[in-house]
Amino acid sequence: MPALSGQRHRRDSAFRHEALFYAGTDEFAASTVPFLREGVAREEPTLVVVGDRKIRLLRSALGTDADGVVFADMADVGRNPARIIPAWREFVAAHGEGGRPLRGIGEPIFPSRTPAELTECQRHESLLNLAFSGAPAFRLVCPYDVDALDPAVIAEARRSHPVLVHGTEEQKSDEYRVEGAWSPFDGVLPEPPRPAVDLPFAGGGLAGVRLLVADQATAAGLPPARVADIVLAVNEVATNSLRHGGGRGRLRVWQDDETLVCEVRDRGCIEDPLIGRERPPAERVGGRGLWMVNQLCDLVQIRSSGAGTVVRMHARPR
Amino acid sequence: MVPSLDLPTGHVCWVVDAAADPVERVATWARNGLAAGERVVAVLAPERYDALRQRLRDEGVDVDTAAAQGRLLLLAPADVYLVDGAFDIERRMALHAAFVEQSVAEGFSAVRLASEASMALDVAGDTDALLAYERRVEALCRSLPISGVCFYDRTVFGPALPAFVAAHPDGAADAQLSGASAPGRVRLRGDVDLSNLDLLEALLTGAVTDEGDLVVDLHDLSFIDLSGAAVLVAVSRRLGPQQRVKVLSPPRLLFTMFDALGWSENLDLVLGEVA
Repeated sequence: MPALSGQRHRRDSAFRHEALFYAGTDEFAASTVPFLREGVAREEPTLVVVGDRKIRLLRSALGTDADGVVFADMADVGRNPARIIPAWREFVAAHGEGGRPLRGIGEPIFPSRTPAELTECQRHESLLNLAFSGAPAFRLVCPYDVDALDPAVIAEARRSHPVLVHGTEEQKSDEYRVEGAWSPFDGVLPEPPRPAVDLPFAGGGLAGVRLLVADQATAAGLPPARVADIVLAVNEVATNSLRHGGGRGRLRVWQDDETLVCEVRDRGCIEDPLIGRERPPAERVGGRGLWMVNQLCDLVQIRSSGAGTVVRMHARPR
Repeated sequence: MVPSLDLPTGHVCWVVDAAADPVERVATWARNGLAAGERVVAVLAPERYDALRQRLRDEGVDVDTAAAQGRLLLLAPADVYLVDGAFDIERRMALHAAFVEQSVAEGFSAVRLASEASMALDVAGDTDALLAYERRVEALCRSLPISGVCFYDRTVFGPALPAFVAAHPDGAADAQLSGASAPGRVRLRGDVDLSNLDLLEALLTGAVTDEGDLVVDLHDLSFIDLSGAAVLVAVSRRLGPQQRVKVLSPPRLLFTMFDALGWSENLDLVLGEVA
């Protein structure tokens, strides 16, 4: 089983990853507004990525202090949860020079997330610890609505966040899961809800892969631009199968409500836990495919082990 | 998509995989030539000829009559490449020219020739000799009514492919991509993916000149993937300091790729307006 690299999370690391438990909008504001005001007063660059209703709430509560904070809608930034880490990295790179302290609030998990999205959000939360273990002076608060969310979701938040905050109380999480005990590629995806079109492919077969995806995407009602996006994404993953996955793979395509799902399976094994979440340097040849796929798709699920790799790409009509 | 390409005509290079069977393509090309009143000459591995004849019969061609009337000639490499058992380019060219002139005298509108380059390579001995031969054939095609289709097995020719593609200015094609290069300009039609990066690179490098920009016309390109886009960028980086690649009619997704991968800051390549 691929394991995360052996970096231990240093409890004294300058990166603070906190889960903030709140019940209802008032408690949310009571916990986050002082945090934001303090950041503005200390001139610490601050980025808030939450839903648009909470953005309006915070802007209103902060008044003129809102000018010192940058807001982004989680529905855009985190539509595909794999894009959230790159957004934070960009923020840290842009404003954290010289070890300057930074603040962030990010609420990736909310009740309307589908089960598949929720799982990917949870993997994202754990990967944050790895992504920022290089210790920028960055304090990231992740709000969780204990009234609206399942207890299992709250329990998982205790495992993915080293620090837990409730109101004014702060504690280290006894259940925090250290690296090495977990891989973002663990687990098995559920079988498709209805019969899927199935196409094995090998070298020279990418044209057939693209044709099948284009036909299925069009039949599912995706507009032409979306069809082109998902064709490119599946092509890139299938190319990876040819290059790294044993020279062959298997494509399956099906519809889940209005979402088109394309799955590529091969015998390769993915090892890099942050694959697809880091923009590759312009000169580098490898590692581009899954980065591109994350920009093109609404959700990407990767499961990989010594037994092989499965990549599922979701495309919703826009 | 899986294209039925408008293939380039003239003296063209068709890139094939080792396992690929050129018979279907040759049959279409031969049928077109017969319909145009041309003398059709094929120089293929002899074991292909039965299948070729059958394929032509299936397409409605009276193969036996065509052969008897000298309109369709299925030859062995030795017949075409050797003169008195030796590979002598000068004498070979003289005989080719005479053959074309005689065909015209017999009433043919032109001669068209299909050949497997691997077999020509066996006779010529090495790629330099074969390249010299191809260049002479190209000159012949410019001066007399003769055109040629040369099948190049990409696994045999590998790194030499760019030179051979450049020796066919009328164009080069494989199962999903066709293109034509002139100094400073390339036009592409079809799909670029992992299977044909070699042909893409060959078409691009064949058009590179010492000075001036390289214009890459993607108006008829139906698909290009990340690895293809990377080849465009790599070629642009190899140009001289004053030279750039200018991409005409790039597909929307090429912009998306360039933005996503940080290639938009590359000064050696300019993307024109979206197709």
